[in-house]
Amino acid sequence: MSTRRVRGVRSSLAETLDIPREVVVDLPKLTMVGRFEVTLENHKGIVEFHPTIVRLRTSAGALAVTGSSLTLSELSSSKVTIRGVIDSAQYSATGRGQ
Amino acid sequence: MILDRLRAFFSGTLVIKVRGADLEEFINAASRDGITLRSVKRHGRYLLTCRVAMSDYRKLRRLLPQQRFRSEIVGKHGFPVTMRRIRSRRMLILGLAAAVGLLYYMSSFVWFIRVTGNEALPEDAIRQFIESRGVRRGIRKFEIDADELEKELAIEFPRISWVAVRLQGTLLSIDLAEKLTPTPEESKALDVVAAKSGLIVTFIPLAGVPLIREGDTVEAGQVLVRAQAASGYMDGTSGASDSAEVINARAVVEARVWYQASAQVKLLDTEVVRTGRVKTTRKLHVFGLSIPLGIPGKGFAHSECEERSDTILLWPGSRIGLNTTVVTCHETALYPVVRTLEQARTEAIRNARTQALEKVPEGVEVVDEIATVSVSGEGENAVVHVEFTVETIEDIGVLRASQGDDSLFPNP
Repeated sequence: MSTRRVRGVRSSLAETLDIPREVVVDLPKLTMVGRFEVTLENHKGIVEFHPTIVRLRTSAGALAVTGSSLTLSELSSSKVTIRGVIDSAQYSATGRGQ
Repeated sequence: MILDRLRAFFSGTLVIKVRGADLEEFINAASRDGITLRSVKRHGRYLLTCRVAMSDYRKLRRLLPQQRFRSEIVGKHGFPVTMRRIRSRRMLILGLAAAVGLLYYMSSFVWFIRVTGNEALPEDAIRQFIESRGVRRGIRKFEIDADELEKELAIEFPRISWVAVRLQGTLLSIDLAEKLTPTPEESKALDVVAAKSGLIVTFIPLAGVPLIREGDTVEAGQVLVRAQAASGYMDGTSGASDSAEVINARAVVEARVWYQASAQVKLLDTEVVRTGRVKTTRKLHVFGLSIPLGIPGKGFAHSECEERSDTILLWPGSRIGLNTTVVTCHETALYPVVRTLEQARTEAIRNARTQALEKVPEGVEVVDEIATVSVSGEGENAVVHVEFTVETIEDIGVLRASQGDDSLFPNP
C-alpha cells in the first residue's frame, strides 16, 4: 500500500472516529494568537531562521512565517512557538503534502 | 506551560551564545535530541542566543561538534543559582534567621489592648483595672488568664452584663456589653402632665392622685395626675422600709386644643415669578475647602438658587469621586398682581388655614375651623387680614418625672 493511500485511510479513520487528524496523520497544526505568536505542532525542523523569516519543514511542505523581530520563544522536537510581529504564514508552492 | 517554567526555574537555566556557520543545523540537532531551547534570538548570520536548562547544557555540548559551533555561557538564572548566591552570603542568612526569630519572639507579647462595647463605663477605668491585675502592654501572652480576667472584670464592674477577653495575635481584645439600667431621671416616679393647653373634655384617672376634673382649663406643663406611694410610706404608719414602691400616674386625658394662624393679603401686590432662564454652576469640595467653579446666577438681576450635592466619579463604576455641589439658579422677576376683595379674602383664608393645619399633629381629629376676616385700608390699598383657628380634640396627657416633693418619692 502506498504512503499516500495509507495516509488517506488514516485520515478517513480519524474523521470517522472523531480523533484529531493531526495526531493520526502527523499533519502540522498551526495556531496563531493575534499577530504576535504562532505555534506550529508536528514540525520537522527549521530550514531558515532570521528575525524577518522563519522557514519550517512540515509533512505538508515548507511553511514560511514572515514578520519582524521574530524569535523562537520555545523550540522542542515537535513544537515551535514563534514570537514577534507576524505578517504572514505561508506554505510554499513546491513540495505540497496533504 | 507553567509546569515547564517551574521546572526550568528549579533546575536552573543558562543563557548561552552559540557561534557557527549553520545555526539552523544547531537548532535542529538540539530539538532532535529532546533539548528544549527557549528565547532563541538570531544576532546576525553567525550568532544566536538562547536559554537552555542547566541539565541539558552538557548534553548540548556533547552534541555540538566543537570545530563547527562554539558556545559560551553569558548568564545563569533559577533556583540553584540563587541558592548558590545565598550560600555565599552567610550574614544574610543569619540576618534573615535572626529577623524571623525576633518576629516570632516579639509576637509572643501583647502589644495592643482594645476595649470595645463600653458606653457608660469609662475605658480608662477598665484599663486601670486590668493594669492593676498585671495585664499591660508588653506582658507575655501565656501570662494572661483570659477566663480569670473576664470573671474579675464582671465582679469589679457590676454594670457589665457580658465580657469576653480574647487574644488575637499581639492584640488583647476586651469586648463587653453593659446592662440597661435606668438612669436616675428614668427611675423617678412619673406624673401625668398636660402636653398642651386646652379644655379637658374626657378625664379618666387610672392610677395616682387626680388633680383636675372634666371641664377644667389646663396649661401646658400642668400636672394632671400625681404619682402615689404604694405603701404607707407617705404617712409612715405601716412601718414601711426605705424601699417603698411608687405607683406611677396613669390617665386618659382628652382636651379641646386650639391652633391659630394669621395671614394678610393685599389687593394690589407684586409676586416673584421665575422667567424660565436657568444657570447651573458647581462648587468643588476638596480638603475641607469649597471652591466655586463659577458665579451662581451670573447675569441675573434677581434669582432663586437651589443647591444639591453630587459626586463626580473618576471613571464609570469607580468608588472614588469628587464631592461637588450643583447650584441651580432660576432668574426671577417681580410682576404686579391685582386682586378683587373676594379673591384676596379667599387667598388669605387659604394661607392662614394651611399655616394653622401645619401645626396640628398628624392623626389628630379636627372638630372645628373658625376664620375671622377683617379689612384695613381702602380701594387698591386695602389689606385683608384673616385669623384662622383650628379646634381639635386630642390626648394631651404625657408622663413626666415627678417634680413634686422628692422626699415623698425617693429615687430607688
